[in-house]
Amino acid sequence: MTDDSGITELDLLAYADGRLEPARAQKVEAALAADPELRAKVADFAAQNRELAAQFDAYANAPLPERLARVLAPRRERPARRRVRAAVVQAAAVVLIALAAGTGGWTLGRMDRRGGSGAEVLAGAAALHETGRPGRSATADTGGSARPLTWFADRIALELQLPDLRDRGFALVRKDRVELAGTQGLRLRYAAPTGQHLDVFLKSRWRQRASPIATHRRGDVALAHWMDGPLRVVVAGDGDARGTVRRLAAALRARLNAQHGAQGGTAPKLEPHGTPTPGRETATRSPRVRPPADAPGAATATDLVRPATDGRR
Amino acid sequence: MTWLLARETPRLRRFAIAMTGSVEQGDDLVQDTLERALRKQNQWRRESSVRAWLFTILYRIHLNQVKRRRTEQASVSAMERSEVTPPNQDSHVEMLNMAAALRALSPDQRDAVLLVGLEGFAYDEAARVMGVPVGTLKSRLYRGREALWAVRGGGRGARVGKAGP
Repeated sequence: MTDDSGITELDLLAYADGRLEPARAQKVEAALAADPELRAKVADFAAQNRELAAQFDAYANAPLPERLARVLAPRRERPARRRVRAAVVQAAAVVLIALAAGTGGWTLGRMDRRGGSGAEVLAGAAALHETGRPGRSATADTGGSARPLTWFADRIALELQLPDLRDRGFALVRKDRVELAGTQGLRLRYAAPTGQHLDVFLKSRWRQRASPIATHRRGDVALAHWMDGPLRVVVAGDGDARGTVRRLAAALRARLNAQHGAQGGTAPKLEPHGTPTPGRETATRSPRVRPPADAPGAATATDLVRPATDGRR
Repeated sequence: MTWLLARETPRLRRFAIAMTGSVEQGDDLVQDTLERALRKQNQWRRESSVRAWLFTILYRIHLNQVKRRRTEQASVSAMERSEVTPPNQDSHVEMLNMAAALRALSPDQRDAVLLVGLEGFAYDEAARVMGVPVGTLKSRLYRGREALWAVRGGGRGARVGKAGP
């Protein structure tokens, strides 16, 4: 549809989804004001999202059926030594973001194959810090990917909280997406009143192994790097500020750990919902046991056309 | 990596159940998806989100299952086939909620609506999950929403079911 005002169907779609730029949205609103039926339609588009959530969110919030929990269970049922190690790794994943810098020898060790080598990551971070080159700007994105933090949180599948360093004299001044060693990451830039600035680079990774904070230096840039759960973190600061940044890192990491501990645990909720069934250690496929008709999860297609309050778990 | 999968599984399950219209079929689909993801974990590209990768796996499995069912259905008699045909739009007055209303949509429209409207994927991400150009995704989404609007009682004479690209 394109009317006299030049409003298209896609404009209406984006407007209903809240993904239309403000200037265009104003034109759409003007068109809607003059057309009650169109206004009703677009209002319904927006309402559909809410009603879909009302209808189906119960399934996302319900405990997982046993057979799905079993698919996800094997790694937790390995011998004790591995369980302890996994718990440590998962606890480390709580530290979603941390800062560090300092001196000393350090190597990145084994890096994920596709995320670039350790040297590449460090070189990229140092170059970005020195030049201030923003890389891919967040504002260049469209749709739901426009928010760098959300974009990155999706990649690591964990809630992401920006570290607040104002009490240490550093304020967050920018966050954007950057190209780092062949893949995209998130950069957080902090600035101090003195003009000093600090860049924190976050990349996603697949391995769960954590690593201690280690430091390096390239030219006039002090670098620190570590891995926590799905995160690979590189911090770049000016070479003459290594001591300050190192103290910030230690304080921040301790603060984040304490914060999560105070919430009742030292690890994020990484377990699938429901109670896993012990005894399956290496199986790659769980049997499809159909639940009895009156058991949770036993609803059929027929159940889905009943009101949302019926049979929900 | 199982904890990453566990983190995403509730969303996968919500989408699968909404898409198939059945808890049982949805859970089957999620189970297949998780098992495949565990086997193929080295195929995840860091350029895409874990969530998008898992949804893409799930969607492809679903399409293959639909295709296989169609093949199987081709061998049954016309009478049997009529019994499994889902309700068409003529029955929309009977529909009580969104789950039922979704049946009035073509599968492509329904899936676009669910990926964006229910799961919150950006248009380009949803297009990648479905393996179509973003313009196609938007067209399916618009047609799907328009059809939902009509099924739910809006706009008599609306262009319900108008073919998208």
